[in-house]
Amino acid sequence: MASRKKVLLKVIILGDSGVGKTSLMNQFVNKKFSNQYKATIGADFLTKEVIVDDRIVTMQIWDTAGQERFQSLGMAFFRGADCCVLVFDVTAPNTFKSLESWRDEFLIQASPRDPDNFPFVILGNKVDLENRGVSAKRAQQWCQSKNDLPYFETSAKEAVNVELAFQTIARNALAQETEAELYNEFPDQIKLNANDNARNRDGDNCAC
Amino acid sequence: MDDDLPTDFQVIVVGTGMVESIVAAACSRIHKNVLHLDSSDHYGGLWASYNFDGLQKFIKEVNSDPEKQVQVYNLREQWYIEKESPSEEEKGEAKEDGKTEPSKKIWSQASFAAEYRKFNIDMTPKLLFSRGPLVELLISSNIARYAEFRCVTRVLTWLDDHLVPVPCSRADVFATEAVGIVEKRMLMKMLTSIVAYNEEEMNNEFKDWNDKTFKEYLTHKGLTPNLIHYVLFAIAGGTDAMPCLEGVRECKKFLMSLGRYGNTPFLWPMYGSGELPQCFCRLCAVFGGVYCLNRPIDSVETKTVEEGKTKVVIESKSKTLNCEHLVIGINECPKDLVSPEPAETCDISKAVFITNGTIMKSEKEPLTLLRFPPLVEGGGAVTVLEVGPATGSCPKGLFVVYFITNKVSDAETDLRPYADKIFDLSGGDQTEETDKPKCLWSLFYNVKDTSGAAGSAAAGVHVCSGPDAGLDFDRAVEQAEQIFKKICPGEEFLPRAPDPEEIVFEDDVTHGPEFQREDEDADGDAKE
Repeated sequence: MASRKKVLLKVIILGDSGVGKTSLMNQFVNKKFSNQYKATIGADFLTKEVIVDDRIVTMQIWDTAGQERFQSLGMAFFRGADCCVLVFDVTAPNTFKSLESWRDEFLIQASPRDPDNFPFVILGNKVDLENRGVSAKRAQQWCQSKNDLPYFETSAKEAVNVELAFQTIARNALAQETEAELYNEFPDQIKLNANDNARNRDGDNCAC
Repeated sequence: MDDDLPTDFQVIVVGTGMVESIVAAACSRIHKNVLHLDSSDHYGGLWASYNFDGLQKFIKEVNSDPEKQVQVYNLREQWYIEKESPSEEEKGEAKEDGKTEPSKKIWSQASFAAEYRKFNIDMTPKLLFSRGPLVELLISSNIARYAEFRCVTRVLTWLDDHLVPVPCSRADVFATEAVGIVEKRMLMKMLTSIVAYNEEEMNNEFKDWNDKTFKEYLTHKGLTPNLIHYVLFAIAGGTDAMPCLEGVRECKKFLMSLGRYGNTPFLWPMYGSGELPQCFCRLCAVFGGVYCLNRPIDSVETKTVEEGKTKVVIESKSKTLNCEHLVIGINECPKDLVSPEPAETCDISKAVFITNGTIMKSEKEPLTLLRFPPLVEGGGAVTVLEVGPATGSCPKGLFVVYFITNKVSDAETDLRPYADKIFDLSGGDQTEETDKPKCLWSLFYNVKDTSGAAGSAAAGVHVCSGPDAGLDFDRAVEQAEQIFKKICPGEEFLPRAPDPEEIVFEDDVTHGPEFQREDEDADGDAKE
């Protein structure tokens, strides 16, 4: 594409409570990890500029804000996602089993144009812990069975593979966004902000 | 998993309608401990948007169990198209003929079902005034970052049996050919003076007009009948009986919102009005609010504990939940807790139409507000909103059109005469070139007006109103703020939430993230 306009990629992170979604975001964006477990408070979305194949893109990574805890994520959360990251805890097999339903939930709620080729990336988090409950092989098999989804084993605590995983996330999201742009589904949305700088070019400033 | 649900909160909010959601966000924002429940599996209650499948379920639910959805009645759904698409053979032939194929898609009930996810149909479609209270609140609270909007591109009215565009801005007024030069000056002069008045001056200027109508005022100002029509019906959204001061206020509201985002004073939320409660809910969750859909409540009891304090006890799915304040949507609220009952008001007649084209052709995809004057004696004005695929409301090639008016007899009787003016409701060949778009599907229904301020019979219980028939969300915002002030006297209503970048993460934080206030974000995230 000739135009090099600013690209904003919306990435959402899903997975059971406690698998480390917020920690992964934080490690990637702020290079910080807090050991203290606390259900997500204050986490909203984080943005980070990354370079993908010589293009500067802004990743906007959306946390579930804890609304996943009682299966209460609304449609609005899923709108316009360019990539979906599914996270499980390698020490907790239940969180791995939930991946399937998180994927389904995403496909139902986000209703992407091309569900079969929508970019998902799977992260098996907490590999720094000893008591593994899900083997790498088992996770890989599942990913292969789902149209070869990319799989990474990460530790948000020790910053293992986090950078690498998010690079793949960015690249796949960009490919999705570029395609969506071709279809030009929803041009010219307006974001409200205090500076009023969304003013329409031919808008008439004075009331009359 | 539900068993993990904590049981003690400062505030429990039941129902995820607009008012409830704003109150939930406001309480959570100042660090009240909030639980937000809804008995259904989606957000919004009567303010929700549905995809086509969800809407079918809603219709079924109302028809099969009228007890459950007592607010909605007289529901009548109608198809104007075939069940199945034309047979494959016909399609094949068209292809062989060369590239004549994509002339105009022929819709069937089956093709609606196939694309059901592309529909977002609002139960309570509303617009935002660009400088109205909701836009200001979304900006000042920073909740605007969760939503995107489109401008309404034109305001139309029905004049001399035709649809005509209403000149909105100064540029429009001067560009229009429908109004002569002398009329233009007259109109500008009057509009300018209305905008200039502050509340005091306005009361002064119009003190002799208290018991007169807006129409009398406009006539007195020497406006021609066409201009009176534009100002009274299209700009003020009134009727012949509209009181003068109300008309002036409505005009001022309209004019003050011009020029901020587009050619008209109005914004429409992407994917429909049902997105907005969810934006407030997200903020509530970000600040620690706990969310649980699919959670009906069985009973509510209030107990006085020591020091004149009240405790509200809620039974839900054999679990006991306690709070100091219960905020509850009127439709979910046990009858004995509502007192006094809101004054009997006029119910609302509504209709939704899905059509295969816009009501008035335009270069770009239009987003239209049409205001009909009453066409029958004693009827009300009818508000029409037409939204297209670019708003995320429907698949390409279709438009969703909402009709809203005050109920006189029933929704269909009240609204069909208006629909007849702008649609072809006869069904038949969709490819036929007609001057009016074909209606493919319609739904008429009445909604009880529960928008009057409802009192509560018990201390600690706050009842939220349902949707009103008005064009905007202003009443919901106003009511939410009032309820918040009762729960949290002296506290700020939705102060600005920090941007994510302003949140400083520390290791081993024990007191929650700290917020560092930096300069107002100047990076302008306008996504134009």
